[in-house]
Amino acid sequence: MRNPKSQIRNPKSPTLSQLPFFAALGEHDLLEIAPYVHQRTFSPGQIITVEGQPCQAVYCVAQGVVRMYRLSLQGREQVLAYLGSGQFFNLVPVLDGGPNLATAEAVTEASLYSISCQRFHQIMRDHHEVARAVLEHLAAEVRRLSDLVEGLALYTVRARLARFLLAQAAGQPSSHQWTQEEIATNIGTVREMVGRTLRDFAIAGLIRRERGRTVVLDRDGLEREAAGG
Amino acid sequence: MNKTRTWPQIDETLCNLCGRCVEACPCRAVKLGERGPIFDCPEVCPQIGGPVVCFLCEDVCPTGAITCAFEIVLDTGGVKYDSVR
Repeated sequence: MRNPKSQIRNPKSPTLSQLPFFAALGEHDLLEIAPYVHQRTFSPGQIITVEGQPCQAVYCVAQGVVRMYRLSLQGREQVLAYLGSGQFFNLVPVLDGGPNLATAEAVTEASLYSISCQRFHQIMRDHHEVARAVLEHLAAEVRRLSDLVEGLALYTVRARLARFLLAQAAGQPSSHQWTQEEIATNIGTVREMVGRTLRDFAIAGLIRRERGRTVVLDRDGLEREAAGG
Repeated sequence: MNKTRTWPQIDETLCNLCGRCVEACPCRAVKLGERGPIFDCPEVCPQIGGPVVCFLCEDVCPTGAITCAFEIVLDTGGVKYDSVR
């Protein structure tokens, strides 16, 4: 990555100066960092990092979508995040020296920037603006993960599914086709429970289940379900 | 993340040919093939009379071989149909 202001292989990829951690840096600093930034492309379903394995690098999504998740010994997944363009991941093991916190998998074809652990440490030491941006990012992650823990620990599956449906419906336009299994991994339950609860919601008139789409009919009713811990 | 899927989707590697989907279908729209179910789910469900779909095949599948993927949208005030029970 020689010129931080130029696009790299794909014209849709953000430039180095457009990445949130490096936005406050001047051109001279960006030119200093650029040789340490590498770009790789992953196919849908390809694993990028594996939970528990030694950390190799910090990554930033240039293009595409990456799913972060943890896996139980029984094979149950809990999705931690979906990441898109400009979002960094694998920072915690770089900072604490531990293994990878989660498995990262390309959902779509994904182009990623990577910086080795050693280089990333060096960049943070040399550029306090980057260190500050990393701290702010980690603080936001603590808040987001605290909300996730609250949802998993304090709300029923019924409430979590209602929250999920409302959040997805509010995020329109999105044509993502969800499966019951995918929803289960997002709200910390199993496929069968998602199916049963969707049926309950349909019987209660909160949703209508059509071929290829689920329609939220009664937003107020679903919000009441979402609030019911 | 926005990939198109056929509907319903069958993962033949998971199907154990138990036939529960065939028994559950109120429209008799499922037949059991050599490697898994074959669907002929009508566009308009004769049991319900609209675009509403029952999802019973997916619900009864013990192995998760059948998936009926869907997007999640807000009601825009279109025609109402009875909920599936």
